[in-house]
Amino acid sequence: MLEFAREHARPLVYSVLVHLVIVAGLVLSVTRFSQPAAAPMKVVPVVQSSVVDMSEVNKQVKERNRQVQAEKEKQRQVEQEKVRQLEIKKKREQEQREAKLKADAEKKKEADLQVRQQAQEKAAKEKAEADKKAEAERKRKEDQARKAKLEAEKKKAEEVRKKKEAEDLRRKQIEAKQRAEAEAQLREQMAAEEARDAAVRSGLLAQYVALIGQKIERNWIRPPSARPGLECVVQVTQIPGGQVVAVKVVRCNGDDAVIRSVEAAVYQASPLPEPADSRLFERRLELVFRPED
Amino acid sequence: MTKVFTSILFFMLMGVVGGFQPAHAELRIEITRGISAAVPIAVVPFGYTGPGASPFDVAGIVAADLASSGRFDPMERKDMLEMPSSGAEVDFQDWRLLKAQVLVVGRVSPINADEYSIQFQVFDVFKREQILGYRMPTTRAAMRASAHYVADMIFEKLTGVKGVFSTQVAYVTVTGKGKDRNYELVVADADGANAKSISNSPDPIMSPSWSPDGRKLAYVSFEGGTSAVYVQILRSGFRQKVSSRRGVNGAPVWHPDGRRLALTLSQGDGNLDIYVLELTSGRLERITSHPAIDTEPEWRKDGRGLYFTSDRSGRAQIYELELLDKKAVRISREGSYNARPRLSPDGKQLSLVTLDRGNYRIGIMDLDRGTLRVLSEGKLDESPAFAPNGQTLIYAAREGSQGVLATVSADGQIRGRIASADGDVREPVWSPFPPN
Repeated sequence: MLEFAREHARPLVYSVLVHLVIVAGLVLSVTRFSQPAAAPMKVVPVVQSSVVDMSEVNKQVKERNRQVQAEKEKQRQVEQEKVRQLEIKKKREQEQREAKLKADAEKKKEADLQVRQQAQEKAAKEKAEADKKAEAERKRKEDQARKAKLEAEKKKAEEVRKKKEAEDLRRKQIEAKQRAEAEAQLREQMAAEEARDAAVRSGLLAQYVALIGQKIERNWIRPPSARPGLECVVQVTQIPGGQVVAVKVVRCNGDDAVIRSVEAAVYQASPLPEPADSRLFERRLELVFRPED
Repeated sequence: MTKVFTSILFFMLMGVVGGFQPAHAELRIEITRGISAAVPIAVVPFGYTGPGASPFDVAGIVAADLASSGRFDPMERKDMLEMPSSGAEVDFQDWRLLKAQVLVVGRVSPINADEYSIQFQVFDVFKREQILGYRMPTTRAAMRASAHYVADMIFEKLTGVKGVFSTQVAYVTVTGKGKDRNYELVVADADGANAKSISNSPDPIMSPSWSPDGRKLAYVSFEGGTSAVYVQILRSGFRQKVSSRRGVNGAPVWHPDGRRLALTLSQGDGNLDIYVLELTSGRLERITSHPAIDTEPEWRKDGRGLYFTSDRSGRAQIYELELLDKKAVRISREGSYNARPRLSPDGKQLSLVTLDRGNYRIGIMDLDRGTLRVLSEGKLDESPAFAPNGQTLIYAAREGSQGVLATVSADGQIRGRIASADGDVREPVWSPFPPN
């Protein structure tokens, strides 16, 4: 208590003084309010010279009391009002404080938000920046790759073109060679043909054919079923020197014995006679067995 | 554009060059003649898988059969470089060098005391491939017949014509002189082996004729002094006198149906005419009634007509007669003497005896064209008869005073002899194919 008084000595004094003032005021106000309110009187320092009836006095006292009471009430109300005002003020102050706090918090929040936003914006910006950079990089690389590819394609096309040119050249050369060969062959063939024709004209071919035919006839052991009306076509392959290397009965209306006999005749006649002019030699002969009676 | 043009030009050029090829790529040569030579063949002695030596020389028989046909020339065994008995052992190059065109190898294997199997293979030496290959069971007694059968198969495969090595021949032999004279009717294998006398008589036996089924023989016998026609069953030996009329009973020949005989009878008046005798009923039908001699009948292939010999023109000639109206037409045109017609198995030719520049020889007349071809070269050849495959004729030829069995191919190119018993051999006739 003492500590409290000591600590709050000044407010206490003030409080007592206030209270004294208030009491003195009240006392004074009794005096001051002894005059009817209806007729504002001039306050004069000496007034007591009137006669006072007791009842009146009572009445006046009562009235005074009542007035005091009322004054008190009023005072109290004022006080209350003051308190209220104070409270309101306090409340308002509180509210203001709170509002300020709130505002501060709001502000802080705002600021935080702003900071965050700024951070986000910064991050976004940074990211955008990075993305932009990456995009640029990618684009660059792509460009590079495209360029490289283009380059490679170009190179390849060039190679293909070169190769094709080389091939064309080669083919042309081969064609030319073949053409030349074919022409040469044709000329040779024609020359051979002419020589051969000469040989044919001179009867050497007929002689060659007759010699082969006779040798085969000498070796054809005719089976009894080889009668007139028989016709066997036999393809014979011989090699230079007259050696028979293949005998093929192409068609024959005779029986097995006839077929075997004509095959045997050709094999038996091997080697076949050679032509007087070697240009008349033929690898392939077609023999037609057509017996007369 | 230029390239297209050049390649077209190129191909055109090639086409031109190629186009020359067929012009003389092949020489065409016509072969219109062959030779009737014997095909060189090697029949290697058959191996024997049993102990000791082979009980029978199958290859020997096969080679002899093939040689007898005249179409094959079997190689001498001493010329063979090796003796394979199966295809696996064959070196074709060797046989080619030896000029054999066909090679036959085989072997005989005993199955038990009496049964054997014969296996053989035939090869084309040029083409080095098997033509034929068989295995067949046989017995010791049937070994020879089996060998003939092997030869038949080979012959048929190589010539396209059925072989006749399993057939038989019948002929008449005459032995002794005076009262020792003996006539025998003999049946032998086609190679002359296994000759068996089925009838004998001191009096003449003549004109044997095979029944179409090959089981019977009809013949003329003069036993007792007069002629009669007999039919004898070969297997049982049973025989029946089917005609013994007055005068001549001769020249019986079987109708293709095997139920009738055509024959020559004189019927008392001494005039020889052709008759047909139905064997089961004994009914006799007179076919010719001509004052000249009509004899030696032969049936046409269709059985509705006959060929026979008649001297109604002054000398013996061949006539053809329709049974329906009994009208006879002379069909032999060439030569002053043609007799004893015998039909070929295909019914298209007649073999006959023809007088050829003073010699009696065997000829063949083509029925369609009427042409006559002389086949034999003897002075007195007689009684020709076709083998059942139509490829060969058998006839009796004179060697000194003896008749011998001779053969000639239907084309006249191949001649042969059939070994026969002693004595004078006459009137050979070839059996039909044995019924299967």
